[in-house]
Amino acid sequence: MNVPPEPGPPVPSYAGLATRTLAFAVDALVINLVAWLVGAIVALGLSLLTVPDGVRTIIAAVAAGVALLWTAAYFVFFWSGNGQTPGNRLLGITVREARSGEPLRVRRAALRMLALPLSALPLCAGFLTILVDGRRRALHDRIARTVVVYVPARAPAPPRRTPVVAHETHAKV
Amino acid sequence: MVGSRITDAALRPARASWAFALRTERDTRRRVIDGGGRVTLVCVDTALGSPYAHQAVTRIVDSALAEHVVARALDRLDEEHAAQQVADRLLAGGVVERLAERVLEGPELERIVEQALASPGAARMIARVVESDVVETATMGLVEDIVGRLRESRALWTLIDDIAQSPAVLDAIAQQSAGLADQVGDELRERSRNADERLERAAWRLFHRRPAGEGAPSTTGTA
Repeated sequence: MNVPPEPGPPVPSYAGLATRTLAFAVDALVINLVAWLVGAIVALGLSLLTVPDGVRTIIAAVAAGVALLWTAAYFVFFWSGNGQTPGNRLLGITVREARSGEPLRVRRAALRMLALPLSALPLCAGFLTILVDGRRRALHDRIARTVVVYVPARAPAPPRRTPVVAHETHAKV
Repeated sequence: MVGSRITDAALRPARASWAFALRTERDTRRRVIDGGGRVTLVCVDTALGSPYAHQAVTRIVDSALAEHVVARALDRLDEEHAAQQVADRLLAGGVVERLAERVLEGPELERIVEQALASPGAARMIARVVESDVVETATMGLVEDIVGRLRESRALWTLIDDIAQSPAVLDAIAQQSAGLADQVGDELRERSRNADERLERAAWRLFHRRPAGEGAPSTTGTA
């Protein structure tokens, strides 16, 4: 007896270099805006105080460390959530585990974050593998065993109808 | 007895003759009066229709005597409050009410108003009235007064708050905002995906390999 094949899970479509670069640019904009805002506030506060140069250097080093930490926390937080940073959400892509297709766990997200500089260091050559890889993976994707896929477009939501009761209530008012 | 009957019979022709004479006199007088009246009316009509009558009336009206007479009459009316008395009598007798009721209920007023409104003169007059400075000043003052009162009205602001916070308005604003953002996002996604495909084809060409979907490893598959 022939059994009709069951419909499998939807085939994902992997995100390409341009989309991922744009998403990263949006994320970088958000990160830098927050960093500049916080930095400006701190600098304004410090300008009111008399701080020795040595202390200034230490504060700058600490601020750089905090900025790096903020950047890493930003990506890890969003990747381990639903896999979408704000930039990814705008461009309609999401980061998933390569095998299961599930969102990343915190450890895998952190590993991907740590591997990200490896893609950038050799003149961004690690990112160019997106162009030739069958699943459009960068170097850090291969290391963390992740993929970036397009989010399927959602059907437009039907317009909400206001309950008649609400109108009647307002009419009585 | 017999004598009175004889007398009565003897006087009967005389009585009949007297009655006939009276009737004849009455008829003649009536005919004379009717004929005289008709002749008088014809004469009056002829006189009024003649140019002399018009000239005569014009002279009388233009004369100092007529002016003097009219002035005296008006003075006397004013002194005796005749107009006031006439008005009081008309009002007390209910004549004015009946007249107003009759005018308002009758078709004459409606017809007159329709004819007046349909006439080009009325249109011109209304246009001049509307465009006049008096009406403009009055209208502007009225509008400013209404706007000022509306601004001070608490009920109006309550109504505006209710409308602004109504679910229908909030839904409409949210849908419009979301619609614009979705439109921009969709456009951006579509263009970036096209750019993905172009970049990838260029890379495949550079490495002399076939792009995805033409024998090369597919960019789509199980994640």
